[in-house]
Amino acid sequence: MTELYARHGRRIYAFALSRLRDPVAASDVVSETLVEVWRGAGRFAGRSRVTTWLLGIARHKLVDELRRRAARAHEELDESLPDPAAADPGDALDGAGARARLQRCLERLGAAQREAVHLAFFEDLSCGEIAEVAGIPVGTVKTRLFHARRWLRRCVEGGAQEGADA
Amino acid sequence: MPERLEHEEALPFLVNGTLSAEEREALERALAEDPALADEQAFLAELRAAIRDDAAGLDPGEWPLRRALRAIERERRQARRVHPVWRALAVAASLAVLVQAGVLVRQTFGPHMGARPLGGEALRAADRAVLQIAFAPGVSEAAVRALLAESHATIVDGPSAAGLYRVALRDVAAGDEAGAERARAALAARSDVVAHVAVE
Repeated sequence: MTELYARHGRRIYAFALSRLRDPVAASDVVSETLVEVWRGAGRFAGRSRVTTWLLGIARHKLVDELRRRAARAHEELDESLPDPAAADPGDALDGAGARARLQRCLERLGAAQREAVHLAFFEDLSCGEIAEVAGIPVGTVKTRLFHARRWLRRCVEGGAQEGADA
Repeated sequence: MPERLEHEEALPFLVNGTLSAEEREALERALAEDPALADEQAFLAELRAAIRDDAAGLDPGEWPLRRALRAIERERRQARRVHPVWRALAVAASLAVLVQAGVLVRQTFGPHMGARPLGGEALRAADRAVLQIAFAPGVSEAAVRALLAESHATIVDGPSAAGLYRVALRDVAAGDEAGAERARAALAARSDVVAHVAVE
């Protein structure tokens, strides 16, 4: 268990934090995931990578946590995206400002899209692996990433334009 | 599906290196002929770098592992108790422990230990470095209060389901990693009061 945690603890924590935005709740999800892994270690069939299997378990725990928070249950199921034009005024157009702007846009991205983006770009999972972890069809993974990219681009460029105009 | 749309949908997986060699070659040919598509690829590469930078400093500390190991040990012990009478007694004992823990937590960190600094002025936790702390089992409220005062720290949240408290450091600004680490090390040295402490 200790070795498993050393190898994958940070990964599970980052995944949970990307959804919950709450370090304490993310820590709880990591603990619950480890316990579930211990309970189901014999069930790992080797059909997928250990990473994919672990993140799939973590996602179940995340969903449990989101359901416990009645007010956040809506976010779990929400596929909609906020209006990127409603973003706050942009940063300067230098590299650091653009990066900060991108980080802020990422935080405003819808939960479903944020999860797909995290799995694609932090975990570097393939399309099929993301579908397995999130429990959705491959086509939905592509659609979520497609819309996430377009929305983030509009969010970043909208802010940059506002910054340039200011 | 139009070929351009297929290419756009495949771009994230070119950027994260999970396309097959055949898919990658086809997409790279399209990129060479389509500057707008190449621009989207560059945006996704920047997005990937931002996400990885953002997560670079994340460290959950040892607490999630310790909590999991305790839960596993608890389940192991319960599994060994096969006789129904013992099982019933175990359930009753667990309930008693939970009730007792609830009473202790209420007594130890009740309303008088709310999210106000000892100085009395409201603290803006967002401006201060924050630690996550689990106090040692059975430690007294007086010991916790003395340690927090000595450390210029204030409880701003908690306990979580795992028994963690969030503690803001009044003398350490958010982002002052060295200051937060010094405070963490000082608190970690007080194992008589602190069972676990990590920089958030």
